[in-house]
Amino acid sequence: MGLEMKDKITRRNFIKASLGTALSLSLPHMGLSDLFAQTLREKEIIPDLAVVTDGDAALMTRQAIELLGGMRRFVSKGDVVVVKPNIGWDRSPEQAADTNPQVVAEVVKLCLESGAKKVKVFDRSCNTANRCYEHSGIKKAASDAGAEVSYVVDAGFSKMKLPQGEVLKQWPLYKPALEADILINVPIAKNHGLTYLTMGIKNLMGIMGGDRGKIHWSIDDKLADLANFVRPQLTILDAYRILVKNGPQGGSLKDVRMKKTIIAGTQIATVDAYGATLFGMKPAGLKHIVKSSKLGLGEIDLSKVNIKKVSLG
Amino acid sequence: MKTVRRISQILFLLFFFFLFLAATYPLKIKIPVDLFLRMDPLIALSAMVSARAFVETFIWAIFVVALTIPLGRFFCGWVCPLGTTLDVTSFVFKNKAGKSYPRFKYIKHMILIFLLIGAIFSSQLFWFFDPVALFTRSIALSIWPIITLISSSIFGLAFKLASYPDWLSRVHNLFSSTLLPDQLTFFRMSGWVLLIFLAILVAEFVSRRFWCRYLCPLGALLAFFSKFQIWRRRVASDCTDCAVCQNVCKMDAIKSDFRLTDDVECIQCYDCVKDCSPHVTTINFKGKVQPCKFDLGRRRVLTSAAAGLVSVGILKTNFVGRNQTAALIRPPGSRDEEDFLDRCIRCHECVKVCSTSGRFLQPTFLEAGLEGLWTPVGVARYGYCEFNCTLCTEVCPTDAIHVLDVKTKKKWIIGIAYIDRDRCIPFYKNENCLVCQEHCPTSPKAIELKDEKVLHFDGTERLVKRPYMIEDLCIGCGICETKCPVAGKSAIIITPQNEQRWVD
Repeated sequence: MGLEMKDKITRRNFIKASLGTALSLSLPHMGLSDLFAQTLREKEIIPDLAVVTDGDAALMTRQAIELLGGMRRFVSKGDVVVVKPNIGWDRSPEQAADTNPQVVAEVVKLCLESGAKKVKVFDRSCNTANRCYEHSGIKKAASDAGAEVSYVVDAGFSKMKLPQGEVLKQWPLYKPALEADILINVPIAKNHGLTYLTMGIKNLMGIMGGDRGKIHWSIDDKLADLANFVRPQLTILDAYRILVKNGPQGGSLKDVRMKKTIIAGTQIATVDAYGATLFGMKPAGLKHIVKSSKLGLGEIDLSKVNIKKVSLG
Repeated sequence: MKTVRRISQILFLLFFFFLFLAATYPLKIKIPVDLFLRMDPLIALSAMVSARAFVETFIWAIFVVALTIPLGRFFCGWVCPLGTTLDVTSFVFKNKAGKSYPRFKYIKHMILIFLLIGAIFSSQLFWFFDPVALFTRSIALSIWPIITLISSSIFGLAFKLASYPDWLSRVHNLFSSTLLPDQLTFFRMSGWVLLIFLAILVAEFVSRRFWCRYLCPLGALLAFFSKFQIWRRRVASDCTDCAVCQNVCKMDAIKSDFRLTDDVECIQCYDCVKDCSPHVTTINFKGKVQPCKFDLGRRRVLTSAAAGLVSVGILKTNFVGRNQTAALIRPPGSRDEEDFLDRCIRCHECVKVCSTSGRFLQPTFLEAGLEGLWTPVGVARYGYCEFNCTLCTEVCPTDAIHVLDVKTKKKWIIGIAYIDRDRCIPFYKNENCLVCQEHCPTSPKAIELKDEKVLHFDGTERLVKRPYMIEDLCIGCGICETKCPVAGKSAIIITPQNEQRWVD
């Protein structure tokens, strides 16, 4: 299936998908259902990438996960899940500098519905943390959805060796994020001065401690090394609103575009590659995405990717 | 009544700490967090003399003065947070009333005159002596950072030992931004402020309420207003001359004839009433109202007035304060420097509240001259002025920093950044960096990246993104300077160029 092909929910597709989901749900968890998901993916019933458009932010999120085989594919009963949104800036949801709170809340709900023991939400903010947590609306939305929203504490960082790191070999990382059973990366798609765009891969900087400023020197390679080490199991890109200028914190509503799109996938580079197209950019022109792909974090030639598109409009 | 007085003291002290901790983001509280400073008549006097106008925030202080006229120095005995702290210290260490220095009593009145004369000639030193400002400052700059340092170390240790349990993060969340700041906070000058505070506490071991008896100019001012008080200590004629009352009086207000009281010194603490074994001492509203006798003496008045004038000379004529090049970034909404220095009483409410937001403000040492000692100034290498934040403007009791709404604040220029190309990585190393541009909060950004083809020193050609300042957009918030990853001195620095000041 190519990028251009846009699936409608036909009866056959619907039955295929729901049968697949139902089967995967009914099977005992872990190994077998993973195996089953694998088979379903090979038979192109579960796509590599789910793209849902033109709906309510929460509904689109739910639908996107559903297309990927449901949250139960990722979250098992009793799991501790970390949902990592972008809460970097003291901005309102309309300004599209932080992940949409409704998307975060919906991911939290899906995890809890799938039997997660605990869902933690945090990010190391660039502005003062409490201002970002409040103003972004994420603190309230996520805790109302049942998540444990916490501020990042210094004691949580410990210096990690990145054995496969080519440029980034060692860095303090946030232990609670790495120790979770499942890490779900929930970035927002934004413009960025240096990497051109910031999406899934760059969002992982939020679990880095230390002086992150230094990361910006040869940033593309460092980000790829980081993503290769962290490897979140699922990346859900919030492109409900995207920031096309003055990123990553914007400020003016003139720089915000309504895209009403949610992109979900297990391969972080693939998700970002699709995200780039929303800005009219070619993934091949974004070095950090290319490098990540080379490290095995996902196909970025979108013609080779099995994309399932659903419009709720 | 002694118990009632103690309860009042404890409640007011707790209320003080509650307001102190409430001075934090998001500042939703309805009560002004600087309430204690606003009800301080000395600060009111200082602000009004400086402003040459009635300052309406001090309606509370007028209320205190109105109560002082019939009730005497009840504020000192029942309300003042510093007084209570001194009483608690003496209670803990079981201090006796201690030595009496009757002649020292005049010092506080002389300090008051000294301050007043200075203030009239626009050299404001009330800030150094006012007890409420002094107490707030000591807590804000010295005590609170110590408490937060200890509490966050305990949390850090507990997190490590118990491997990040959830209940602990829940407890941590509960205290975060009150007892635990968002990030650890350190202030310059905290040692000096602490030394003065400790000296006042240590003086408690010489004589009880040493500060209040001999030094406090607020006490002197309240004494002035309590000349006609009707709530007075009265002793019945069948007094047995046992001297217990004189020995317990922490204000040394009981004369050698135990029946007589130095009423303007009495703070109605009821210690003498409680300990009077024949039960002949009372404090009540009965009896004739005679004005209290009080005479400072002409020589003392003249001496202190002269000292006030000398202080003007010392503070106003030093070079640094007049130096235009002094690189001071004042908080947004600050008045003109002269007016600012006249009004600022160094309570550091602004510095405290800023430490829960951008951590921008710090007390000065001598950068603003002797006259500007300990005034708030932005130190951008350490913290920055949060774009959406107006907290410091909301907590200033004397309006040295005028209230700004968020919209005005976002356009308020406190300075302009400039790039030091000898240190900036894209310029001297021809490598990409961008951290300053990324953090710039204005929209459009005041720092623009330009793609440039440059000849590297090894002869190769390189494409590099170099930052440029767009001066018209920069408001001097300083986040670029804070976040600049160059070690040591930042490669982008804010200066007070183009700064705005509040003018009525």
